[in-house]
Amino acid sequence: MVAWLDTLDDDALAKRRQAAELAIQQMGITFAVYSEQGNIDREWPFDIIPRVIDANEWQDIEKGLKQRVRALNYFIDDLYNDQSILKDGVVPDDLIKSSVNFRPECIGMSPPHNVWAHICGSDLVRDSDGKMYVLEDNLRVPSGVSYMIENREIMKRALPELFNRCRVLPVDNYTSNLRRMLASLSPVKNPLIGVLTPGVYNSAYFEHAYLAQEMGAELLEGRDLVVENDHVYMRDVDGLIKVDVLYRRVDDDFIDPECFNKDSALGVSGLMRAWHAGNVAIANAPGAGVADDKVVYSYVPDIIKYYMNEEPRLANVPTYRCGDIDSQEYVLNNLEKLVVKPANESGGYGMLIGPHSTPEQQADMAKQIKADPRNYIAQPTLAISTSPTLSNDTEKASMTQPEMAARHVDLRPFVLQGDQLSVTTGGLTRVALVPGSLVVNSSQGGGSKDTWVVDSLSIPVDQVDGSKNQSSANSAEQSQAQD
Amino acid sequence: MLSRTAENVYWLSRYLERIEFTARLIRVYGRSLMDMPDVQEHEGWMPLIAISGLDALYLKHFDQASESDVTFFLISDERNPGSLLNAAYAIKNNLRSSRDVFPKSMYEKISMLTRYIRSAVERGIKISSRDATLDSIERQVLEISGAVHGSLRHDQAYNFMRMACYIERCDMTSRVLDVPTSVAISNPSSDITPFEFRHWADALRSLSAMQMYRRHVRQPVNAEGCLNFLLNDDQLPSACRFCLLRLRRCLEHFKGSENIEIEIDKLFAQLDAADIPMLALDANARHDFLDQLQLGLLATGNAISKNYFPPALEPA
Repeated sequence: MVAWLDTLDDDALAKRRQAAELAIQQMGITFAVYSEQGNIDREWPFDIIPRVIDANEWQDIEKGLKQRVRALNYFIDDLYNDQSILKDGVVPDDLIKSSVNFRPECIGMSPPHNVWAHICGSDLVRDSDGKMYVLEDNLRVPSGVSYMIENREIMKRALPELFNRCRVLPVDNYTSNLRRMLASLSPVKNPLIGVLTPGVYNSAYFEHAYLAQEMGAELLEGRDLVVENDHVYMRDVDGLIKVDVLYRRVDDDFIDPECFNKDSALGVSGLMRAWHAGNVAIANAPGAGVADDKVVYSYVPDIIKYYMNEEPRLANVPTYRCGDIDSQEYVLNNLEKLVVKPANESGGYGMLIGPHSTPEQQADMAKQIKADPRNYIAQPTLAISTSPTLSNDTEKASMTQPEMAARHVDLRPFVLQGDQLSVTTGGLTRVALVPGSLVVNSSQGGGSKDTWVVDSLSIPVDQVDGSKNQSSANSAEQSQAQD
Repeated sequence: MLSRTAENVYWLSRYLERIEFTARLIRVYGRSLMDMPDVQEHEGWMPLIAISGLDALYLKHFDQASESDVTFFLISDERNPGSLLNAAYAIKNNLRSSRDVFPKSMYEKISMLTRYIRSAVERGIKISSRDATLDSIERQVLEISGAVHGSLRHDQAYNFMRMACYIERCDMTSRVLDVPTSVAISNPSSDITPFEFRHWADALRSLSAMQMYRRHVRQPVNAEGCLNFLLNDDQLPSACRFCLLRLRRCLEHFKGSENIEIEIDKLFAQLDAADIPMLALDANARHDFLDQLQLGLLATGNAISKNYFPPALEPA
């Protein structure tokens, strides 16, 4: 691949990049930004140089992810039922009881297959030691998978030649796996599946629409739904139609004003009743976010050992819990070296990156930690790996001359668990487009790359061109005779 | 299909039809006016505003109907709810919440059209490039219509799109037929006949019906022939009767459409009772007749909305 890229001069590279941008516009790949008025859709920032992972390494990562998600689901199911892990003192009782994502409303519930987190997006980073670490698990409404699939489509349009040279494993089976998994949650044979979206102003609306479209599911908003006799129905042109499975992309707080946030217009009243009665499956199940807590994250290695009696195959980043007095002291004394994160935020908000922060920001963070130690964790600043990226120096003059530069990347694979487990091939690689930056979130100046899991062992394909001319029905025979 | 989505595709389709029509209208009238050097600029261009039924709004913002003001108003003016630009915005909004209905290639086509219109407006539309831009817009809409027929399953979504299209088109036709009147009246002193011919011909052209008129009606372009053709033909896509027949056929795919059928039957009754020769001569009677037709179409649209779309006063 590198050899081929070398054959392109700067002009040619710039052209390829334009081709990718055009593809993004045409395909309408966007994400919405909250604060901007008027033009709420932004085009997806994309880098055309793929990030490569060897298939052998990927196999190990995949096994590690499956182990991790399986253990997390045992854990959540235990928390809402027997609570044996708390009784055995492996995870402290008050940690769970004080978690905002622990939902007492879910106690006693046992969802199909005892799975709560059906879709999990775990963020992985590679440290300077070359090892992959799990940075966090997203068990509430993880997003990004549609961009993973669309990135591949963009690459096919922008750099078609590369695919002949490298054995890139495909990524397009995710949506059919997702559909299969969602269907496995319902006793109905051919269930009606809906994607519940907060609506067009949500930053991930593109993805909600994309997934609904790819699965042939209904794209639903709260106002499309009604609950009658503990069954969920959608308002159809032909009247009310029963919904069997909801893949909800609305946070717990907003799915049912009867049960959670009273003012929410994004969900539907009575949804929790219908769920408890077993008349609708909800993925991810309400309450699954309890394992999303970044303090709980620090216990995941213990959770894996407890339920599976196995050593974790994927390592955690060492984590200091500010709730522990000793750790807190260490964190407060070393703020300039650490990354501090709130326990229950997503999207990279509310973080402090020590080495990139000012003393004022550190003092501010120290104040917040002291005020609410339970809700902060700190991790050493990793030397997160970089990947070659076409730099985007927006000084107007040099726009036409993109150059290769190193930018920090992470990786978000997606794990599905229903009656079976499956993992995406690779995942979404997010890249910090700003030089030196460690923040990859698209809402904060991040972009993405296509992720290639490359099967290096297999024999390279020698242009296996099937004999195309053998087809029996010649189309010329079916054309109007020419004089 | 979902009521909300049904409403989205319905309006998306109406705006698409409106864009195609408006683009063609400006092109046809613009060319035609080049052949009428004696006509005052205002008198030449005002009918385009009248067709859209936007006289009051236009005159609120402009004193005179100059070529540049009228085309700006119809294409780029954000104050005009029916401008191409606003129609493009409306399509974009409706498309956003009905994205899952369409095959990807179709989504891309529709999305590219709205993008094209917006960027054309941003660049500014000059007389030299206006026809080419409008032509391209029209062609893109035709391409989308082709995809609607060829790649969308002919299910409820398709039928909502068709119904929207027929109502919009029938409405446009009735408006175009209403226009020559106003110009003729505003030019009482001049020689009416060449004007009359030209305006009926423009009406036909703006509905893409000129060639069909020649082949089918086989008489010189005149008021009576035009009215009869554009109101009553059952095979011309822009004729009112054709639109109503197809509209009624679409309804077969839906339950509980009786109240809509009643509205359509009233419209048929109105067409059946029309005294075409009289309407051709009496401009005021014609105006009243067409006005009545438009009200009937409005009632039909409202009945569709009441039956199938989400209730209007829901908490958003």
